Amino acid sequence: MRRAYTPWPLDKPDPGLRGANRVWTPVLKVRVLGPSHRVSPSIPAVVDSGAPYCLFRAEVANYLKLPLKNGPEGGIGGIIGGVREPVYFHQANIVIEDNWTISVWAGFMRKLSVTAILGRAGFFDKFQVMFDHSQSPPEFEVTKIDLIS
Amino acid sequence: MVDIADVLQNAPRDCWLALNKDETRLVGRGEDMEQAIKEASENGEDDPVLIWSPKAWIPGVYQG
Repeated sequence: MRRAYTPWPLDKPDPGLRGANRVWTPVLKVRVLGPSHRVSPSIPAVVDSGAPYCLFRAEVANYLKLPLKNGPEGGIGGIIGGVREPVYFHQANIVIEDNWTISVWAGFMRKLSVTAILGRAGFFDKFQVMFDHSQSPPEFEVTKIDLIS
Repeated sequence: MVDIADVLQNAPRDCWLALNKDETRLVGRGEDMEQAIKEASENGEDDPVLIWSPKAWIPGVYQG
């Protein structure tokens, strides 16, 4: 599956992006399935190899009727040092682009400025992803890894 | 051509947004996902894309 990056707005032109007022971001649409079989609407998830695991905003857990704070608590910070924010982990199934369903051990947290993140554990261990910035806009290709048991 | 960046740039902040399926139009908003979905349905979109609209659109994924 090959997708173009998604343009997301920036409130101020970013000097790091040579003054661009949007940032091209690799995004896949996912739906999250909770234990009560409630399914979330389609939500955008950033494909982020810098994230250690998959993350969702806490409201997604609320929507799925997941008891957020019953999950084990961890903490995560960004690339800028600062206060670590609590993350609560739960098992969830996610449907990627209405095509692949995978089971992930995912974190849910309040202070996430995006809706969801597909990180290394849970996503990158099941998919091979090739980022192609030679295109404009950039594109990325996602291939499911056939696991040999 | 309107793209999702244009839609999000002008949309309410610090809330959930519902977009139509091709992400060219805002069809609902809410303090929670249910409210945004309800508004989308009232506006004729039964399978919206839900997205969190942060207080500020800045590069990065974690709020400080």
